[in-house]
Amino acid sequence: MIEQVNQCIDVLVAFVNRRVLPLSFTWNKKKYAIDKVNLIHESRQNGAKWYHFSLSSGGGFYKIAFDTEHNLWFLQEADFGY
Amino acid sequence: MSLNKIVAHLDMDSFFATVEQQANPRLRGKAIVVSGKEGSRSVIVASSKEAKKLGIKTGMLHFEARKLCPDLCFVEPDGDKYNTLHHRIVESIARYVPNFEVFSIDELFLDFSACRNFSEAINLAKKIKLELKKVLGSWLTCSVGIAENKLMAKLASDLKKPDGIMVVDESNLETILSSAKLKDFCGVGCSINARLDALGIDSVLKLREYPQSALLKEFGPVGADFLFHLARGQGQVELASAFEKVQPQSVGRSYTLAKNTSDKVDFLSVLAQLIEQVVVEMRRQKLSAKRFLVYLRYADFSGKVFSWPGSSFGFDGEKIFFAVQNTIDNFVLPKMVRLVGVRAENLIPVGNQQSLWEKDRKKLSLLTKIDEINRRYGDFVIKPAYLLKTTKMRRHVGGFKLYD
Repeated sequence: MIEQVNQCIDVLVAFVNRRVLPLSFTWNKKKYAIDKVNLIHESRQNGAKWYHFSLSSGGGFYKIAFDTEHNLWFLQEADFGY
Repeated sequence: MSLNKIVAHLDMDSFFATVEQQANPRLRGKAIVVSGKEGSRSVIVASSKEAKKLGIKTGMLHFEARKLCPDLCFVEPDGDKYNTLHHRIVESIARYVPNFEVFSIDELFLDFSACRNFSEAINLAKKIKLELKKVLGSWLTCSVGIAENKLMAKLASDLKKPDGIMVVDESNLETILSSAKLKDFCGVGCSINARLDALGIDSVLKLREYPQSALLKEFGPVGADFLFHLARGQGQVELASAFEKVQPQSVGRSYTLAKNTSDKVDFLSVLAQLIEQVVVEMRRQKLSAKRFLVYLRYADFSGKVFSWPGSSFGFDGEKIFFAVQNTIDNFVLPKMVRLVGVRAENLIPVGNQQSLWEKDRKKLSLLTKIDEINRRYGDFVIKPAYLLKTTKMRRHVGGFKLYD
């Protein structure tokens, strides 16, 4: 079941071929290694550009987003796989 | 054999649902539908291939879909996802085909005339399919129909779904035409199909035998010409360029109410916001409408349409709302209302023509500035006073949604 989280998180990223590739994120003091980035999409929220990453990690599904106006990462949704 | 034109129709399979499955692998292989929250009164916007196999179709109500599949998974629509992927599709296609037409968010017509024959066209279609998988993700597939015109290319793409390539050429044209139902053709909607049915025409072959003069009498010159050519597998070959701005014919918004109501204040507040959304869009595209419609759908799905000449309103949502309010106040509702909608139609570009009256020019200038601010900081940050008491709505796939 997908839960709406919407909490600020820390994300470790790599820059590959001029693109951002999230490698892991830390939420509630737990580190989640990202197995696969399934989809990246963009949106505009009140004029600011956001990048959304749909990820797989340890059998779960997560959606994280980067707010380019405030340079913040958010965990938006989580589906822990149980 | 030399061909005049080769047109391909590319259709993303179950687009919205497959995008959701691409984003979340846990949904893959499952029957899912893209729709409003389960239990809400919204209809199914899209269904996955697995759900389609169970008979779940776009437009179905939640309980109808649930009856067909008790384990059905509901996913809320995410327009930004579909929009981003649509732009990625267009960018990828542009690398392979210089001339193409965007037909909808998940459908394109491609000019394959650079191919000398159908086998070259099939190879090009295979390359494009591979590229799309690479760019969009492995779960997203598309079907491609290839023919000498748009009508048959579109029909062909429906014949080999999902993930297929289908060619309509001289060798199979007659077989396909004789087995296709008239409503399978793009351009034959429920109303035309019913009128054809009333004339005893229920197949392409019967349509071909029907006298052209009688078609002309029933459907007028444009409709008769379209049907005459359809019966022979002929259709338009010209593509509207994806890079040319196509002027919309209408701008509309509708909303299914949270519950059926007879309270006019309830649905007038929703109508006020829909009207404002429509006029903002018209101002953005610099269009004016010759006709303005408001429609009510009753609980039994029958309805009532009210119309006004658009010229009397210009760009002003407030004027429209007060005209609508006045009409609705004097109208006796025969049944409970389920859905309300607004549509501006017969749109014409306004260009740089300004109003002769200074008061109108000032108002338009003010409204345009307000629109700019709202685009930057969010819908209805600044709004006209007549919207003050309305519940805030946000943009949503297929319409609008009240804020939770």
